[in-house]
Amino acid sequence: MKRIVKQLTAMGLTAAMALTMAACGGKSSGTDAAQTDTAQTNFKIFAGISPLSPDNSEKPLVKQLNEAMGVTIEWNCVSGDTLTEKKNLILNAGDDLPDALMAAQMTDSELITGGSSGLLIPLEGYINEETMPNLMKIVEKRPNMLATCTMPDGHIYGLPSISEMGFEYKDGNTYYIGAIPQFTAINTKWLEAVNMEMPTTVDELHDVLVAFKENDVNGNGDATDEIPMSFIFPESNGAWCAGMSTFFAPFGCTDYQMDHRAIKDGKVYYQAASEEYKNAIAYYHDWFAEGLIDIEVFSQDSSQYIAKGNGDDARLGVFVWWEIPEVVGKERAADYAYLPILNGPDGTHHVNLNEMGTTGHDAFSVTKACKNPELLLKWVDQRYEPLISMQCIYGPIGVFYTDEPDENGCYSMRELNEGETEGELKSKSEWTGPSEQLAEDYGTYYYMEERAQQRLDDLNDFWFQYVDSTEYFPSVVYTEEEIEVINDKLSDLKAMSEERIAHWLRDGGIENEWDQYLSDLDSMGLQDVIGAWQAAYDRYAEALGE
Amino acid sequence: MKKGKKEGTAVSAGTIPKENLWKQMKKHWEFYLLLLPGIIITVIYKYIPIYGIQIAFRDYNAMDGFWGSTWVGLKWFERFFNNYNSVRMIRNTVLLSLYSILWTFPIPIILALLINQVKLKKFQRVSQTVLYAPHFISVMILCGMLRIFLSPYGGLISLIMQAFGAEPVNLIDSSSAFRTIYIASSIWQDAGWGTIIYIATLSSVDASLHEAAKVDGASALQRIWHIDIPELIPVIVIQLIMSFGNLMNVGFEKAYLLQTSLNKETSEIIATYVYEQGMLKAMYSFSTAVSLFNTVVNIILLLIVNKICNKLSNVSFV
Amino acid sequence: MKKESKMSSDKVFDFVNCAFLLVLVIIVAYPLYYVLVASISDPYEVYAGKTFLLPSKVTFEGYARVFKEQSIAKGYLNSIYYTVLGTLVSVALIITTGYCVSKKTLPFRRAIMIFYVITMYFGGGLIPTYLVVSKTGLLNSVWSLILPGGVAVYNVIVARTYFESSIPEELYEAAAIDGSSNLGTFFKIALPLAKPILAVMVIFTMVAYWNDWFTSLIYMSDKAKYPLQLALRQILIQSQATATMMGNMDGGYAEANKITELIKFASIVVGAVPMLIAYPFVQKYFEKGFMAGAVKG
Repeated sequence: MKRIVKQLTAMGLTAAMALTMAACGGKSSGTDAAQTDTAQTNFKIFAGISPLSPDNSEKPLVKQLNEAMGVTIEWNCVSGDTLTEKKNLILNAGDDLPDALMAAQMTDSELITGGSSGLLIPLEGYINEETMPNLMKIVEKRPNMLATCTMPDGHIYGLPSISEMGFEYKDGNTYYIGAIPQFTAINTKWLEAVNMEMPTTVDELHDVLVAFKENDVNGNGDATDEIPMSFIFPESNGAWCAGMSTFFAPFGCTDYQMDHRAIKDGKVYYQAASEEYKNAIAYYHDWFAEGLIDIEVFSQDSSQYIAKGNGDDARLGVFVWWEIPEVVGKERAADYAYLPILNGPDGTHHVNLNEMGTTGHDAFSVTKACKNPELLLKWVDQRYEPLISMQCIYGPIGVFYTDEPDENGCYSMRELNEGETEGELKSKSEWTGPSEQLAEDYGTYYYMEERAQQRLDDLNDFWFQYVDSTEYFPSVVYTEEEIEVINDKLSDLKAMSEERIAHWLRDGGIENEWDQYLSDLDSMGLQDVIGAWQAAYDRYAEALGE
Repeated sequence: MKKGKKEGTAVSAGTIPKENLWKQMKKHWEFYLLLLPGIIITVIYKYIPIYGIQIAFRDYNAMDGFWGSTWVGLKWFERFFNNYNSVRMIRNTVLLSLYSILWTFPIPIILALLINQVKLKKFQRVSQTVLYAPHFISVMILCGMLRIFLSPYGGLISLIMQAFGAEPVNLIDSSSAFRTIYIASSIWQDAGWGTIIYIATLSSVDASLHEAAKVDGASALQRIWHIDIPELIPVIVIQLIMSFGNLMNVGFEKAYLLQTSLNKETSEIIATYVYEQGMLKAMYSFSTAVSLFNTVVNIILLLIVNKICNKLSNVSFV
Repeated sequence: MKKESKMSSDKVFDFVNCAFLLVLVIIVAYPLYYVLVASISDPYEVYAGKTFLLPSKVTFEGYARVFKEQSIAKGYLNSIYYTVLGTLVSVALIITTGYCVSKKTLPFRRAIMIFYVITMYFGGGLIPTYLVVSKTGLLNSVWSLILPGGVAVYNVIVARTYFESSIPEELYEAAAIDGSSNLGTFFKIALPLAKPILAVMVIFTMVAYWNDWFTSLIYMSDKAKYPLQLALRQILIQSQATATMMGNMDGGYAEANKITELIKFASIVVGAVPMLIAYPFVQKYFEKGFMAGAVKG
């Protein structure tokens, strides 16, 4: 008995030690160059997919591309929050690496860290006519694209994606559909009921709202159920299109960017610390005090918000969203119109456009485990061909699109069946990953969705007339140190800003506390964060200048 | 044969001569056999991974791994304590937990005692099932419902309050109401579930004891006090000790879902802060460090409360 | 005379007690009822506060969506399998460990307790655990849901408390005198008397396994192996993701959002019902008086 126990203990300890040793072997031999093996035709890919979508191995488009290149893929598809957890495990456990990660939403931080440690291999060597002809065609049309996905160390670790849903403005530039993400709308039926004109200044809007509040404008016999104005504060509550930023325009700024990042004449600054912002908050506090603003703006989520717009009686006087029909339903949409950007007490307004975000580089990375990157990249390059890209983004011809193009050679979405919605169909049929969607593709290969087109037209015809300065902060690449600084401090800064502003809006007091607030921000490192943003921008500007 | 009934007789090798110890162990060999699988599993899956704790003192990154990441000593702890709101966070966590224990601890006990007295079996069964059913409602749904019930525009609670003449106010935004909402909903959700262990313990009370007491003229309340409660004391004490031993672990999900910009004064707790920090990148080191801090506080509390309870009731944690 | 008045004071107590509990049951049950109502009402009506009493604009879309998914049927089967197996293994570990450490004569009993309690407080974290699980070949297997959890120390302590306080020493002594071995005593004397605590452990463990989705998320790569809660969660997230995406292109956010809300409520009902059904079966093991006389016997 004694001996057995001793032996078991010994075995146990050895096993424990062995496991510990193995477990700590997390340090990879990242400095060895990946050995190429041109015989490899089977690749393991870790892929993010939309939750509604079937496994990538079942998609006909995938099979098509596989056959064309003589490649087989072992898929490990995950979706939703599984994606982040599993991706972290793969990147951090260093165990059982796939050959590539596709549509895995790689952050800059992950790309830089992965690249510098050797976990991810540099890809620029493969972006050439021979290996990636389709991508090269795009690069020819958009020469800046590669710069946006090149990391500060000069390498490309994530293939680019480009999505230009935009319109061409009369100044010759293309602007992104989300340049002004928050459209304000007003109930014109109610305006008639109180016999007032469409307001052009904030003070006029104030009077309109008072009239909405005090009268039974929705005609249901109850004078208290009207909500003169509603939105969701702050934008970081998941409601980037329902914030009150457009209402800051009369005071000289808008704050669409979720990190409160803004730029003027090449100088980057923090919008939530600007003088204009302060004036706006001070002004609107009075509206809160008068009961003109929905009490729930600080706590509601988009479901609650939209429910207010729908429902049997009209309850919203003024609201903010990406568009009108979603919030109030198709029938009632006719009762609303866009509320133009108003003039402030000094008779002016100013709009800061939102950032463009047309290019990304988080959709495809190759790990050091891949022995034949050349073939793999050739395979993925097929996705950059416009027709294939279209099918990747929305769905295959015949499934999402009609079987045949129309007389212009363009595909349009097929007829929806009973109970189907467009978004769902797209979710089910798409194949996420690096792709291209250039502005010129619309009308050449396929048509844009109607509502998207509508929004672009609205931007062009209505909203942009209020835009004086079209400067915006571009898509830049940060160095590792800069990312460190930003990650370290930004979330605390934002949390502090958003908390204080909420209090000032509801309770007032901004005049007394503003200076203290500014110095608190500085002591928390605001200037360092701005410095990081500025440095990245300067590099970008310099590169452009070349 | 003398059976050691004293506490701690056969515990440490230091108090018994070696041959006797070995003899004791051999006599109990079957117990060790029963214990073995659990111990093995625990060693493999709980002890071996413990090396991971060290990243609380390192700047963990995937490539350098656990042993190769730079040693940064107390950097994360400094960062945690230097944070602008650290005092508020810690205070909120502690207060929320203390108030929670204060309110949610006694209720399952009282409920268990009362339910135990119910004579109609059917009613007893049904009431138990209903009372513990809220345990299955997910926190997400619970918070969704709270939002609707508390909405100033027609929420049930709002309507009731307005009937009493109160002004419509958005309670979700109120930092003074946060703890009440949090704790009240905890009571709803878990009080019934908490009765299970007490009811089970009470079921082993000999019914004849109650009968005899009744004959002696004891009222229901007296019987509860003299028979039922003493039976429950060991369980109650253990639960109490463990509650304090978990003080710093106030769950993050509910606080996070109920948090708004305006109620952060009471709703920002350690867990929600760590979560927000981790949103930007996977901050394993930082969250490990904070967990470690929480653990240390918990253990200190555990030992203190254990000592107190031990002195008072002779029941101990280990 | 005294006896009678005591008895009627008992009646008063019973009456008050039952009345109080009845009120409590109604108050507690109301939000549950609300969940049911909300799961079949138009979400806009729910948010407008029109569904506090009765459903409004009834729709079964939420349930339809949930049951349309094949993953749900599989999820149910998987969950039942995992729960049954997991409960068997876990409860066996808990009860045996709890019993052994309740024996005051066991050498190193305290050391063993401390050994376990440490694991309640110190843990290596997700990644080291994942690595160990991976290296022991448990990935994607049902055992990855059972073994890495170790022995539930909290439950062991509760079980130990029960063994120490609810089973008298004399019984063990009597058994020893009768010549029973330690194992024999455990199986023939202790276990039968431990039915209430066994029942409690079964409930706690069963519910824990049934409700767990995180562990499967981490260790199961095969979607066909997802348990019910994870499958439900995926459906919910699907819906949310679709809604968010829509906001970017063509509207339809509101529509998709509605469905998400319905699915939320429906999933709760679908996920909780099996446990609610199972509970009464286990509950009878600790009904009052169940154990009466067992000790004496």
